[in-house]
Amino acid sequence: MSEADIALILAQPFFAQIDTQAFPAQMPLADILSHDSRIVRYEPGEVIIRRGDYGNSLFAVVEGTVRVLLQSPRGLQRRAPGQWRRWSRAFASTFGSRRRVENRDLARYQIQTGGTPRAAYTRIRDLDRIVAETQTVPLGQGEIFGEIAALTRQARSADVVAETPVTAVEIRWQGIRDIRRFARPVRDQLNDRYRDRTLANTLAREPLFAGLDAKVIEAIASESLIETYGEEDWYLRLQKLDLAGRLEQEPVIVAEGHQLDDVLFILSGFGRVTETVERGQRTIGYVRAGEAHGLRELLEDLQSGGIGLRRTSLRAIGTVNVLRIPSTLVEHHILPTLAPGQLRPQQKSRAGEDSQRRLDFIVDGRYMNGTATMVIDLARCTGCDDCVRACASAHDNNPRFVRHGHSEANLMIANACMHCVDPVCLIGCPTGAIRRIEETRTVAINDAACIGCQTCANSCPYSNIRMVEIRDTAGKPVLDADTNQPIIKATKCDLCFDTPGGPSCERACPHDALIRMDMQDPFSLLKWIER
Amino acid sequence: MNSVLTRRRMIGLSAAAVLIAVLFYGARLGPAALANSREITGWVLAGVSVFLLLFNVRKRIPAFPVGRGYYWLQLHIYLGLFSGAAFLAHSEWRLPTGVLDWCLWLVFAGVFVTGVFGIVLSRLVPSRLNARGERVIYERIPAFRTQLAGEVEALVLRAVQEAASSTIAELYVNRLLPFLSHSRNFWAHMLSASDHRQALQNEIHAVRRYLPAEGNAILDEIEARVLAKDDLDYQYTWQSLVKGWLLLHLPLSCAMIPLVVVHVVINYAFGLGGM
Repeated sequence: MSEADIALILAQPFFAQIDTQAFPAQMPLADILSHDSRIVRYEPGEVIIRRGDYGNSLFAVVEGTVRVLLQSPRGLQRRAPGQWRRWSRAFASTFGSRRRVENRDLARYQIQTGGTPRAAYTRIRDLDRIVAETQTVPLGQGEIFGEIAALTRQARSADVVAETPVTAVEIRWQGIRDIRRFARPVRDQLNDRYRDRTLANTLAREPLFAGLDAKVIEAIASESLIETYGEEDWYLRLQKLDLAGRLEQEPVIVAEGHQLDDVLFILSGFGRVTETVERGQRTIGYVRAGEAHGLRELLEDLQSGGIGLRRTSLRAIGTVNVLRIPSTLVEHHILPTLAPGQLRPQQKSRAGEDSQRRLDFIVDGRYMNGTATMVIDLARCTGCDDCVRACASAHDNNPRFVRHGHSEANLMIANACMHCVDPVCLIGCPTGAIRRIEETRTVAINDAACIGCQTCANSCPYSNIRMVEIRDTAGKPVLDADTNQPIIKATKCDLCFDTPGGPSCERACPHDALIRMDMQDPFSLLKWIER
Repeated sequence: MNSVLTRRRMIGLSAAAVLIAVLFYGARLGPAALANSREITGWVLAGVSVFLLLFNVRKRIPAFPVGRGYYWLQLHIYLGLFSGAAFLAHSEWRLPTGVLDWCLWLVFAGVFVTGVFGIVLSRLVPSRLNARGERVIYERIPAFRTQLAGEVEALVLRAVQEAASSTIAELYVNRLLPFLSHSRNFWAHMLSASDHRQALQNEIHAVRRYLPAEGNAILDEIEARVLAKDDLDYQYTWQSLVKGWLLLHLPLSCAMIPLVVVHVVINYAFGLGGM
């Protein structure tokens, strides 16, 4: 980034409002922009943002016009493979060569990588027709987009395509984080935009707000506070964190004993629920995106008469975005619509010595991130490796997980992709090769698009992504033409999403010792272990 | 899981018992109904055997939705037990007479016995593997063993240099090196005996009185690694059993196929009735 580029960026309306004096001397705004932003140019029809991607950057239009496509055109849609492809894949993996490992048909890559670098951009050729026939929103000079996905780590909610030749500034999330930290107007502006553009729609999709009409949801969205707690790059440091000190390092969002004047709805991330035991804190549960903290307490207080004090604390695990909804709104609008049993029973009502240790293990290891965590019951597992062989058989004769991992008593969390709620591995993939398939919530790698940069493998806090050297169909190692080094690709568990039966590992286990489990509810895990 | 007779197990055993009762009743009724009971029990046995072999086919097609391995194993176990009864009914509780029939008899008995051994093993192994040391992936055990041996060797060299002690070196050469170089005490681990472990510890402790303080500190570290190696041997023993028993069960099962085919052909070619 040249000084002229920085000056160009600072001249944009979004950046012009920032008080550069608010930034500390060791971290001036110009330095942040220099390190964390770039100027990008797009030709008409080129796709800037693709729905479903986990973007880590915000864009500001410097010149030209972009179109936000509220419905994805057919060519851009990412769907899970159809039945025919699943069955053909099953036949190929079963009856293909069993001797060769990690074979790839190189012709597939040549099609993908041929031509100039510009040719790698996805392009929509009939944008005019799409604009005429579907709902789109034009964004011009000075407008920003992509900030919601970058800040909340949710999938991109729309496609954005260059309508004319476009010059834009792209700032990665580390830069946005630093700017938000020192420039309050930017933080407020981004929160307001989030509230205006997305929040009501997000809430409308959540079960907690299912019984409310649109006007009430909008009222809740406008009268609630959006807050962010914790470290955004927690995943880079998880392995190094001291297990014993993790709880103390987690910022308190609400504290036990304080007035219960609002309910916290988790927009993204995780919170640890604790209660005081003598001079320490005991973990009694956790909340994930889409869940609320304080709701049960409020309900109990109302039933017993009057609003009281909080009986538990909520701490941020990693980074958490919360919506602080005033108790009065919850009392009048949300509580009357809740179905019996919609509130999860409190963990402590069942907590015994074993389940407490398991709960600590899950929360300290941040395994509640998983939507398909591989849990092994060591009281049943004989180590027969049928699961490993099944996985290898379904994936190029190389298993996509290691039947080993951290354990607590008879519970083992194996080294297999957990298909996280917050899939940090998706952050920073330069080609979008690693992505989440929305229908199945599976995080999968498009092998043809993977360039072996290892960004995802380095980001995965659970070390569940592995790099492998690939071979051609004759079994010879594939070497890079320039460096003569082996070409590597990222591999991980894909839940066998492209075969008809689902996860082979789970179905193969002859001892009922392995399960792929959504860790949203700790009770299901405890129930399975104690079955 | 705590109770031996779980609900599922009771259902499975009851179903197997009912099938066995029906089979024996049918075999007894055979002559009265002018049917050859040996032919009936023979074909039942052949059918069940084919189904039992399909479990291995199921394992080789994991990508296809053909039912969970757990249910297949349950069927395999209970039908396996049933096949034992069917075999007795088919042979009419008599020993075979010819060479071929003796071969078939022995192979079936081998399959059945190794199968029962497998059931017992699958019940025993999880608790055994959890009992001592960390669960280690079987294929990685030799690497960990080598690593421990290397660490002990480095400690011994340190003892010679820092503590100027040759006692530890002698202990290493005479006792620890043979212990560390290979997997040891297979049978003791299988019986969960710990005499060898205690003996080894006694020998290590016996040299303490000759060592200076630094030497004792190093000996502590050596002892920790020796015990870790013993835990590794324990894991190796039990995991070897898990891997090894199938090397008996599976080939015997496969060997049964041609024998059964020949048995059927000969019996139909030369008239039914003789075994």
